[in-house]
Amino acid sequence: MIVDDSKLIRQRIAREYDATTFELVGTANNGFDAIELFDRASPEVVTMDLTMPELDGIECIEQLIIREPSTKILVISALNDTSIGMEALEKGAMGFITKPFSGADLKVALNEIIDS
Amino acid sequence: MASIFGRYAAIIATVAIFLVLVLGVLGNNFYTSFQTEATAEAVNIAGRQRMLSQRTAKSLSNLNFNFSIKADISNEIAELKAASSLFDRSLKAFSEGGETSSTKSGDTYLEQVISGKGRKILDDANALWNPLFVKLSSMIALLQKPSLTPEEKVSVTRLISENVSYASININQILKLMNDLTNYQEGIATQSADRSRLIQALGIIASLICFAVILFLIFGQLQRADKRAQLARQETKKIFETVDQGLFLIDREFNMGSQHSKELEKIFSTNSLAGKKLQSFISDIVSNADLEKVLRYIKLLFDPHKKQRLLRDLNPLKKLPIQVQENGELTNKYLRFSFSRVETEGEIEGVLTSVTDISNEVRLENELIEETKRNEKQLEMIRVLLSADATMLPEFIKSSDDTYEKINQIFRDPARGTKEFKEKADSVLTLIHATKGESGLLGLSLIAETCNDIEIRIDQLKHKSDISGDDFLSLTILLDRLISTNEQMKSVVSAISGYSKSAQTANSADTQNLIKLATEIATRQNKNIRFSAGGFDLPNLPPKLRKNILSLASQLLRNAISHGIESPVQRKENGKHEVGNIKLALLQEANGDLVLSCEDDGMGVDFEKIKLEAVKSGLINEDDMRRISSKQLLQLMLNNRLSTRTVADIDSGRGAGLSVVGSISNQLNGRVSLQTGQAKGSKFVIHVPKKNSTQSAIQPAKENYA
Repeated sequence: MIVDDSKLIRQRIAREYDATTFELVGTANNGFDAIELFDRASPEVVTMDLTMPELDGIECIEQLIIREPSTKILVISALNDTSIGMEALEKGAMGFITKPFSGADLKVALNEIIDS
Repeated sequence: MASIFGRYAAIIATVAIFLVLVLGVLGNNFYTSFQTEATAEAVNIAGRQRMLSQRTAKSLSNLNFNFSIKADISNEIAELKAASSLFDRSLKAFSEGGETSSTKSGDTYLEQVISGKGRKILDDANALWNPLFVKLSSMIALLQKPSLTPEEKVSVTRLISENVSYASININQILKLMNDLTNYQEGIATQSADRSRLIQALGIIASLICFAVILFLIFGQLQRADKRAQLARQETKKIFETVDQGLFLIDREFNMGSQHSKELEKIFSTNSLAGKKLQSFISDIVSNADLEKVLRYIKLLFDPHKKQRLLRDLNPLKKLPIQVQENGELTNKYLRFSFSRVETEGEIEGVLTSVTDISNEVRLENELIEETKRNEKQLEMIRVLLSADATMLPEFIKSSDDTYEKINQIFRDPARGTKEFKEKADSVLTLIHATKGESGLLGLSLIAETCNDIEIRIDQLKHKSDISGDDFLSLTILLDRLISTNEQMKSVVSAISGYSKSAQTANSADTQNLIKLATEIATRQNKNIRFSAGGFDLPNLPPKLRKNILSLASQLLRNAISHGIESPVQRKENGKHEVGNIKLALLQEANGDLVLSCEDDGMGVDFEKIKLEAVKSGLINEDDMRRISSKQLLQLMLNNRLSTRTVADIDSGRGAGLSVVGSISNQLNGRVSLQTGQAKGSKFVIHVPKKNSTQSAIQPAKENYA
């Protein structure tokens, strides 16, 4: 599942999903949609933006982890303030990569996440 | 596991042997204690045989006596029967192995005696005893009968006398043999006790040897382990001493490990780091916010569910600027902290932290950025080249080439002493200032900035009390840069020359360049101006003359904005409109002479201030100062460097501006005049005679009066 408020980024991430390893259950452009989609499709791996309208990434991560503690969440954010990134990890995300990212970066990160 | 067993195999085998030996000795003791009991019983029974042989003889003798006197013999019979049958039973037990009555209670088993000596004793005893026992038994059987036939009576009497006589001959021999048997049995007992003691002694000795071997092996192992540990420690120490990074371990509680690299001490200029809390020694160099982030980051690293590789982007100390005292001076440095987990069997035991001085990398990175900026400027220059006046550019390149050659020549000319070097510096300043003006006019900002750099350096030089040739080195580098820029421009110009033949647009381009220059200077100086330039579209001017006229125009313009026009605030205070006016105009008179004028409504020229400056510079003395006329003063300004600006910048301040005007005007045989009024403004007019329009040869400089 891909959560990002930018359509362009969602498409960019979706393009790097390796169809042999992942099946894309859907995308969401804010925290509320993400939780709704999560309840419907219960994905294993989630890529999460942090700054989103309505419900931001940090709160969304909290909600997803309450629902399913084993959810593997990769934070993909352009934030320069590392403390918000750290907060996301403290709330239960597994890894963090910075936007902009290369296709290779994302692939490596997703494989690292799934390999646990 | 297998390797541990392998390493300790010898010890384990020795311990096993030791245990076997101990068990052996214990077993032997156990066995011997039974053996000893049995042997003691055999000795007792053998002793009893002696007594029984005597009892048999004695009861037989008593029986014989009582029988002869016809007394009661029942007691004697019982005694004889008991003694003889027990003797016989025991003798058989010794001879063939079997049970007999114990000396204590019940029966006991006797081993068959098989050794030669014992056998001999028993064979002899049996040979003597068996015939007696047979006859004793028949005799007893008859005597126990209630009544005897006359034959039987005869037989009994005969048997008694036979037995008594047999016994009297042989019983002592039997006694002796039983004595021998007792001795023999005692011998066996002693032997077995000796053997047992020997086995015990040997077992104990072997165990002690084993024990010694075990100790030896264990100590050897310990020593080897110690040596290995010591070697490992030394290796670690060497690594820590030579590695050019700060290296240390931190645990969950942020305590530093006992070892760290030498470099770390250098970086933090302290050698008491071991065991300290991370917070305590980085708090001096990181902000509180960063410190908090580092601790959170390390906590995340200790969380096995987080992916180490996917944490790197969050490292708050990737590029940490610090200030360090180096040779008594504060220098800026950059450190990079990298953190990686140390795992043992899947458990995160600590975080290895490396601290690297990345100042050089950062410097290179910055240089790269600078270089990129320069490249961008060059691109910008090319863009300017493409849009600039095609006839102006080759002229600029040619004249600046000349200038650079002249400067080079000045550098090459021998000079001695600070005074000569200062003169050199002044000559270079005048030349470079003209190039700065022209390049600014054409929008070649890279060249203008480099020229400005040279001016700054020369200015610094002039303030030094002691100048040598070495001080010019940095100038030659900048000059090289200017020359190579010219080379680049030449190639670009020749490449685009085919495209820019549009000389028709040349004149309007001159005006535009002047407007642009005026805007640039005004922006830099924070002045508001309204600028107009007229008459610069004059056709048919020789390129050289056009260039000189434009140089004059740009210097006057510079002068007007920098010195003439006041700041908007000041203008308001003086009751003027905050936008200043500058008018540049070029006119061709009927006789063909050119008249260039620059008029502004600024503060006017402050002659008093200039007089003071001239005195300060040693150009005139104080008497001259009181007598000198405005015209003479203007001449002084045109022929010398004089500035009333206290701070120099790219536009003005070194007093070269008017001297450039003076020297160009001299070249053109021109006349410079000035009208000015305090707070009313100034108007410079330069009159250039016609012959310059037809003649391009440079005229010898002449004295000119305004």
